[in-house]
Amino acid sequence: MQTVQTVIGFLYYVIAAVIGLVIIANFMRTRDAKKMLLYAVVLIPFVLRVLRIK
Amino acid sequence: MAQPKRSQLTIRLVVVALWLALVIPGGIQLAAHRNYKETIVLGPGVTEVRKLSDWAPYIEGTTNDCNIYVLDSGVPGGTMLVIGGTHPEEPAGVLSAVTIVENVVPKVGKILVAVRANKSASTVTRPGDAYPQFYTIPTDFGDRKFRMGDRWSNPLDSWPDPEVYVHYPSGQMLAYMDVRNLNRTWPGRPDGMLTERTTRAFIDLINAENVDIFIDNHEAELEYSVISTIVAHQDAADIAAMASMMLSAMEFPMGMEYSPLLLHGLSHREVGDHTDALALEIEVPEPFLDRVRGITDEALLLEGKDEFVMRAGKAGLLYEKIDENGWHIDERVGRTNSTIKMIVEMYNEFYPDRQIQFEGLPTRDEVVAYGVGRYLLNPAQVGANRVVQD
Repeated sequence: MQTVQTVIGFLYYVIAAVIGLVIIANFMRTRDAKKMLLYAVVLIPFVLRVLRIK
Repeated sequence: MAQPKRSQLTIRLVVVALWLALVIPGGIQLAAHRNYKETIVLGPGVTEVRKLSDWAPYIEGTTNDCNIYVLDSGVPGGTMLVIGGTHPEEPAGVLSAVTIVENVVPKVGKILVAVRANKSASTVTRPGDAYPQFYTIPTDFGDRKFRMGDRWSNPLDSWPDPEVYVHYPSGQMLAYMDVRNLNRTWPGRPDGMLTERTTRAFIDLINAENVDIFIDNHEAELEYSVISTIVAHQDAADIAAMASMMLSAMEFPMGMEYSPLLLHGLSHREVGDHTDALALEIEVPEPFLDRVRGITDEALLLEGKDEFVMRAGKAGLLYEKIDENGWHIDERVGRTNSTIKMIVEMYNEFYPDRQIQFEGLPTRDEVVAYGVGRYLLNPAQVGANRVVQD
C-alpha cells in the first residue's frame, strides 16, 4: 500500500509541475496585463508545492 | 486589454519582480518554520530519550518519528503515556507535556511522554487563517520559543488525501482531510498513510511497554460542547468520574464524558479498545480556535482574550464561560497538569498494585501564580547532553 501511495504522491507532484509550466506558458503568451498578474498569483501555490515548501 | 509590445515587456518584468519579491521572502519564512528545531531540556527525571521507531521500525525516517521521553523511577509499578501535540494548534497540551519532561521526577513506575505526537502537523500552520508561526513563553532567562502548528499533518508528508477517508479497521467514512488528523486515525496500520502509521506506532509502543494509563492532551474551542472535560473510554470511566468530582470540588470545574462507542478513530475509543491501557483525553478551553474570534495573533494564542468570543458568550452561544480575563495559557496548562495529577491519584486508588507516583508536576495554582515560564528550564544552565531538539 505504501508503494501505491508513493507512486500516486509522485504523480501528483508531476501534475502540479505540468500545471505550473502551463501557467508559465500562458503568462509568457498573454498580452493582457491583468491576466499576467492573474497567472503570476495562480502560479504561487504550484511552485511552493513542487519545491516542497508549502 | 492588449498593450504595445515594449510596454508589455516592461509590465511582464515588473510582474516577475513583484512575484519574486513576494515568493522568495514568503517561501523562506515557510521553510524556516517547517525546519525549525524546538529545544527541550531534559529534566531531573528523564532517564532516556528514545524514538518512536524504537517500537515501530516502519515509522523510521519519517517526519513523525518523534522523541519519546522516558522517566523511569527504577521502582516497579505502573506505566503512563502522556502525549501532547496530537493537534499542535492546541499549545497547552504541548506545554503541559514539556513541563512533565522538564520537571517531573518519578518515584514509582514509569512515565513516557511524547511532546509532539504529530510532528508533521507541527511543521505547518494555516496562513489563510492568519495563524502565527511561533509563540514565545517569557522566563527568567529570556523567552523560550515554540512552534505553532495545525490540526492536520503537513500535506508535504501525506499527499494526496482520498476523496473520502475510510477509517481502518471500522470502515467508517470520515472527512477526507481527517486521514491526516492524529485523533481520527487510531488504531492505525503499519502500511497506511503517515498519520495512520503514527497512531499504529503508538499502539505498538503502548502494547510493548504495558502502558496502564494513556492520556491525550487537547484544547477545544468554546463553541464546541466537548470542553473542560475528561473524555474516557468505558474502562477508565471510574477513574475519570472520580477525578472530575475531586477537581470540581477542590480546584476548578472539570466534567467527564464517555467516549462515544460508534465514533471511530479517536484516541480514547481506539486505544481503549485495542490495548489494555486506560484511555483518557483532556480538553481545556482555547478561544484561539473559535470561528467567531477576531484578530488571530500570538496574543490571542497566549492570553485567550477576544471580544468577539466574549460577545458570543453573552449571547449564550458557547459551552464554556469567558470574561475579560480570557483563558490564559497559564490557566490552560495548569488545568491540564492538575487533571493529569488527579487522574493518576485516582488510578492509584483503583490499582494499588500498579502504582505510579511522581513529584514536581506544577499544578494549576502554581502555574497561574508564577507563569508556565517558571517551569521551563534554561538550556544554557545544563550540559549539552541534557538538551535535545524535537
